[in-house]
Amino acid sequence: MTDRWPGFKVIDEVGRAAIWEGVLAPDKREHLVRVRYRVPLVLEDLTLHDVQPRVQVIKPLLEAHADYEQGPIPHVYWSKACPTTPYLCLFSPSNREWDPTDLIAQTTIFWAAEWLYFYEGWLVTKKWRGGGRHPQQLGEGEKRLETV
Amino acid sequence: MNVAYRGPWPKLIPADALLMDVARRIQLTRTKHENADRNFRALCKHVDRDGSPLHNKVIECYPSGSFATGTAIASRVVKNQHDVDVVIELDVSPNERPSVILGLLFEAINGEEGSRYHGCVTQNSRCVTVKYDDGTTVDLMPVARLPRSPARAGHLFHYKRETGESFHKEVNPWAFADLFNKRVEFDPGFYDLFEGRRLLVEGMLVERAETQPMPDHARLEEKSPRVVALQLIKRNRDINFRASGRAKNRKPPSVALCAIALDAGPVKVSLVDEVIAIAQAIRLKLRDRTSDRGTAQVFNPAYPRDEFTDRWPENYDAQMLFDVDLRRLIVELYRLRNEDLSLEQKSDLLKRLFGESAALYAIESHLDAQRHEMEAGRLHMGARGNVLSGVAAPAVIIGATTSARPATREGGGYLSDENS
Repeated sequence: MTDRWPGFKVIDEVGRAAIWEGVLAPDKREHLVRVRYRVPLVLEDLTLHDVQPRVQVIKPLLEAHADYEQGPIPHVYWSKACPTTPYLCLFSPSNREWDPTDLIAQTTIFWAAEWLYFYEGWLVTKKWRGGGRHPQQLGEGEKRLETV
Repeated sequence: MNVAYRGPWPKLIPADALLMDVARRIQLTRTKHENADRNFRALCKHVDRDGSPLHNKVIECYPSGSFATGTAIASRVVKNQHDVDVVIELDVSPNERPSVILGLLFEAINGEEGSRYHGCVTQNSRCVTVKYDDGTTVDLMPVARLPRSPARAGHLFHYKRETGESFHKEVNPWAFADLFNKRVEFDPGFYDLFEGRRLLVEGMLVERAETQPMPDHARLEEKSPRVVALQLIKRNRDINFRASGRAKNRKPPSVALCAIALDAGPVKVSLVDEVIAIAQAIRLKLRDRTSDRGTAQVFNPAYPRDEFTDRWPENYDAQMLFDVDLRRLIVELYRLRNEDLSLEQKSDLLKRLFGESAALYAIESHLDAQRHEMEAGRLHMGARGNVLSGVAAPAVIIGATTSARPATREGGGYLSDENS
């Protein structure tokens, strides 16, 4: 992680879980980003949706605009515990675009920076131009980890 | 027939890409061009119809101004409407009273109640304007040929009802358009850039270095940076003169800007540089005070008795107003090219220069292009995740990398707060 993203530091590490924080500035504005990840056990009955790294924008908080395209905030998972810091939707679990063998530094952080770039564009144009999709059916993206 | 472009795909600086996106937004579509052409030809036939006061008096009709030089833009960009200037050559005495000729043309077009154009026609001091249902207008300027003069030289008829002002003016718009079109260089390399940018924005540019099919129809305004630069300068002029304080000011005529642009030196490779070069050439001209009004004069280079600046600038203040506009345009373009601006700053700058809808279109196009680069695994980032937008020059971006693979943003709903 440090080689590619020198601004990212581990701020907590317990067992198989770690939290990194670092600044991403894909356009001009700096965003403090937190990434939390726990390596799953092989035998756990989990989906990619469940195990994916949790990526949040800590500062400044993401702006909510209900009247913008895909508002109030486009392409996020909401957090019950932290409603103001939703998790970013960064890849398609149903297409298995990420799995636990991938390095977060080579995937998640890039995708978070890309997400933030199009978020900046969304603030300017009120339109989400970063692509993506919304699962059509409940359960899509719920494929079990062991089938990966 | 499609023309294959042999790679490698040409490189664009980001500021040029944005200006090309603005230019695409203000272009008239091919359909609009065809409609405009159909409209004015139908109008001329209408003037020459049986029973018209000008029956059998129409010698020829041809577009003048922007439509003749390929520099036409959507003057009301939100509705994509445009104005067409057309010369209607009449077989009448060049010394006929202007009020008579303009009146006859008005009557010929307006016709009887219930006829095709009735109620949509206005008589102006030099032309008769027809307004169509979609807001598009055609200005029909009657001209009578002068004997023993160069081809198509003639008198226009000026009559102002409010003041009684009446005179003839020697003009030759056809000769100017012909000269302009012969002297403006077509640049196939520019066309490749312009078209390549469109393909990238629309997600049709799959592999940069591969041979790309080109459409068989390459329009004049897409092939010459000088023409596109003039369109951008005209758009900037229109935005500036839209300000409420300038409602009564005349706009610098497009034809004068085109004439000055012919002497703006060699065409530049970069569109930003070309706009700046033309704006500087115009500013240089605006230092002149040679007319009786103490203002600059621009003449038709193909027929020097035809002065393009006979109505603008009205005085030196009007001249300097445009000079200040151009200076601001140049300063802003240098900022766009040289400074590392945020998307918001770029958007604000483009709004000031070219209006909200064109700016929004350019930023959206930029984002679309970046998304297509991202999806193709070509969006490069620096150490802080800063997107490096050298549009087609990743090879020169040292230390920048891309993600291991592209991803699709998918999701929504709630996600548990723990990873298990």
